[in-house]
Amino acid sequence: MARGSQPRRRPATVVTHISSLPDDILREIFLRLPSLATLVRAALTCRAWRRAVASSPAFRSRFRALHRAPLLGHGGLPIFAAAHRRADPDVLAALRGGDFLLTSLMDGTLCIVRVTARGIYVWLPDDDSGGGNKWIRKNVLKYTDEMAALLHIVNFDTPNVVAVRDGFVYLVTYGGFVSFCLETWKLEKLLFPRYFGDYYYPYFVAWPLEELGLKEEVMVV
Amino acid sequence: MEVDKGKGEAEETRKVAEADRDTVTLKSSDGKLFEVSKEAAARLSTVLAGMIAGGSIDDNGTDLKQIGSEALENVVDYCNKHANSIPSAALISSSISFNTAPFKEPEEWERKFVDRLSHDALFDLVEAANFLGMERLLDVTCHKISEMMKGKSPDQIREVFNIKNDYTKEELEEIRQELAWAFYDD
Repeated sequence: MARGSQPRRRPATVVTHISSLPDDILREIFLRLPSLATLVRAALTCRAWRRAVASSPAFRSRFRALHRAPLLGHGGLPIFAAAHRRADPDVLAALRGGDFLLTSLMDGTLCIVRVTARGIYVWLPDDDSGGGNKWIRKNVLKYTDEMAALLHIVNFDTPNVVAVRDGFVYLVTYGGFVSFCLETWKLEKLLFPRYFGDYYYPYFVAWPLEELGLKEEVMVV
Repeated sequence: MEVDKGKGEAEETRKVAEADRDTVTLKSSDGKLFEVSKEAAARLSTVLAGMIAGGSIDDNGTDLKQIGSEALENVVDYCNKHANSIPSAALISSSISFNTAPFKEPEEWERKFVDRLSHDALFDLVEAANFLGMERLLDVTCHKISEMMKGKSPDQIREVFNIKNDYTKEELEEIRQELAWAFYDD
């Protein structure tokens, strides 16, 4: 307390600048950026910011968890080739058009999804079946009025599933382009209805960020 | 909502009545003293909560040597405003999320609170919030700074924050080509 009598004032000439913020805080700020694209642009402003991103694996996995796979192309024109590592596309092709879709959650657990006009049903492998390929229905999401409104479900029309991958179901409805997370049970509106949904397909890009030191962490699984 | 409002006002009246006893005095690095509601300080700052619980609060002013008077004034201001604010409906979680961010959006008053700050004051405040373990204030200030980067090119970001570009031209061009997709509009 004695030190109070000799206040340690900052010299008036020292101006606080964003570069004086420690990397931890800088990363807290970066986490709140809306997309990977913004993060890349921020990292390209100066070397220090790029290092702040590249030097922390914890930051990268948090950013990834918060932003999931970036959705980049729409309007029927693939801007980027889809980057797949698993056989998902083939499985999907075989199943597309069917009532049931096989996909996997982020942790790799396989699951079966069925989207109907009344709700979304999810089956998971039954671990207790002793290795037998039994599936048990784990979750049923009955749409709330709010969800039905978001999905623009009228007269029990089934939403059109355009893609299922990485634990997300992508749906096209009159309300626009919507994703549904199988883990958090959340619907998210991706695009607004000013375009016709038929032209949509989600394209994913692998985390390309060799430049940011992220080479070992490819986003798309 | 009506009920909440009534409760909020009653809470406020109670606080005013007890203000004399229920405050802690904080001292900035440059020796200025600030009073803040003990309840709000303990609720909003893990560090102050620890100091209060541990009895290391000095009645003549608890030294916070890392925090300048302007930032501390903002911290105290924030605590007092927060103590008087009524949680809005926006903070009550809904079953539907329209964006992936798990961070809670700042409330209107919080937005105004950080909007009026200069860049320097904002950067000082974010450091103070971090130092004091004020999760919510850190959230609000970081959100504000991230908004200043949103939708901007690297050049524009440099301009906003007065950052010196220390990449070489060739380097930047190379990276830019590789990451061309990042330069489309969000």
